[in-house]
Amino acid sequence: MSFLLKEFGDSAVLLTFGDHISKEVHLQIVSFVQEFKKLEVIGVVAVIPAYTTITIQYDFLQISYHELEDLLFSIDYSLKEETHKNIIEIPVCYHDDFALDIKHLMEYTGLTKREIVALHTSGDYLVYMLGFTPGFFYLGGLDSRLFCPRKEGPRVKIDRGSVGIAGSQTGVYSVDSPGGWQLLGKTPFNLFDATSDKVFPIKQGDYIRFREISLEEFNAYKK
Amino acid sequence: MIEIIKPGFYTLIQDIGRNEYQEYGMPVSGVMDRDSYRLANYLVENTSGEAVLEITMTGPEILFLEETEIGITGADMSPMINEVPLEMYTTILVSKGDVLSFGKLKNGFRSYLSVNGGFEVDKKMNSRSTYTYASVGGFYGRALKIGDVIPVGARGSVQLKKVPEILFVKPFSTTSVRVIKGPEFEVLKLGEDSCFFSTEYRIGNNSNRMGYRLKGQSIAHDAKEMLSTGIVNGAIQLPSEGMPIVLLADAQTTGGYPRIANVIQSDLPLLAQLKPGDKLRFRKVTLEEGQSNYFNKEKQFNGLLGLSKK
Repeated sequence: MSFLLKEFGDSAVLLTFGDHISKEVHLQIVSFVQEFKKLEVIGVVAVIPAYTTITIQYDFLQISYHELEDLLFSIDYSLKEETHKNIIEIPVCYHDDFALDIKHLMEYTGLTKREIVALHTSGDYLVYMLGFTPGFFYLGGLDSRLFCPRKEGPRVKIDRGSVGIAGSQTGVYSVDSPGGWQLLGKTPFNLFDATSDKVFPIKQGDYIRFREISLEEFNAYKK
Repeated sequence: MIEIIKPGFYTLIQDIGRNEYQEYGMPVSGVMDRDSYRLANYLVENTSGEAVLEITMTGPEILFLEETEIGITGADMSPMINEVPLEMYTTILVSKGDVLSFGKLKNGFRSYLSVNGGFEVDKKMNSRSTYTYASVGGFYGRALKIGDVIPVGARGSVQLKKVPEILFVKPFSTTSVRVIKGPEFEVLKLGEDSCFFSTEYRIGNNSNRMGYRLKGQSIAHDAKEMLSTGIVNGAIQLPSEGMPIVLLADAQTTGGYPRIANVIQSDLPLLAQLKPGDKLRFRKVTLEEGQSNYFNKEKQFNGLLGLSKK
């Protein structure tokens, strides 16, 4: 178990733990980030964990490349048992008003809408990483019966909270943005709220569980 | 307080940005040209990372609702007070009722306007920087508009200052930008002989604070698709068609294109002053050279201005 360290510009380093998505690599990264943060190293500006890599930005006026390198290789991130699953429930309304691509999804998968919703709400999805837009998470664990390629042409604007499928991934748009995912619902739950105490309610390593709500519940949730 | 009479092309409230939320997908934002930003704040003795106006391409028209000191640095957009040309890079006393306006863009692309006490909008996520894409920070998360009234912090006593000319933004016919090899440098078919280092590139039209798309000779590469991975300010990505993209202040925190090179910290302000159509070339340096350039720049700033660190 080891990682490769590379220069990433003059004020960051890139740590690579593997070359494909795997839960084992993911757990190593989560553990490494936890242990590294505990050290509160002076001069570390930001840590950006991803699927198989960690980018660490540093201020070389405060810590040199070689000091940082030595420190990173001294970290013990051996895997502990996954004792606690942090599961976050996200309410999703699958009403036709929001499920803009449900017809295409039904045709492509050969499933009924009820079957699609049942499968989508059945599992716990692991948050492999965040990125793309503020609060957007990349999930693993979508049932293969729901796999569906993204739309041929992206929509110009997709509302924040829209839930979609793209290839083997499922996820939630965290801000209004263009995008090509096949939409099957919408959540009133905010993945990113700059005015809240907890700006980002979800972090790497959490699990997401989608729970179906009615249009009435959706509207009530919004207040 | 100040009132915006005309907003200019794209005027934003910015400070040094927000680093600590990148792991949640939040871009850093902040000023594009950190050198000009520091100099602007120096002129009015703002020492706590106060917010300034970042003014792009064409300047706003601003009414001052109280007497104060201001500083203007960066691109030369022919600034005027009450239609009388004024000197940049020097502390300027403005009176209540004065109107600051701008004329022709003479060089550079981004000007910075500081005010004694700083522009005092509420901090969002520890910064006053505007990130328009998610409507965060600054003034309602957007570029300034006609009629906006922006609060200003407490006015301290200020001694009039001048920035030495050596630190002014200078025009180049072709800007030389230094880079170090990126983590996926090996995707370049010709390595160090790649046309990336010999071609003169132009800044493409669809460039913005997220990144600059470059136009020039397409680069031969054998890039594979990558899993999304971290991005830093100044990273140069190579999408499949072979035209590089330089990622800047508002860039996404993660991306999936190979990162062939990285602009060194001390040259990022040069990029901020380039506009669509401007020419640039990349020159390779080592990590040690990149960092020592920055050390030297710090020394120069500290020596000439008696500035404390950042």
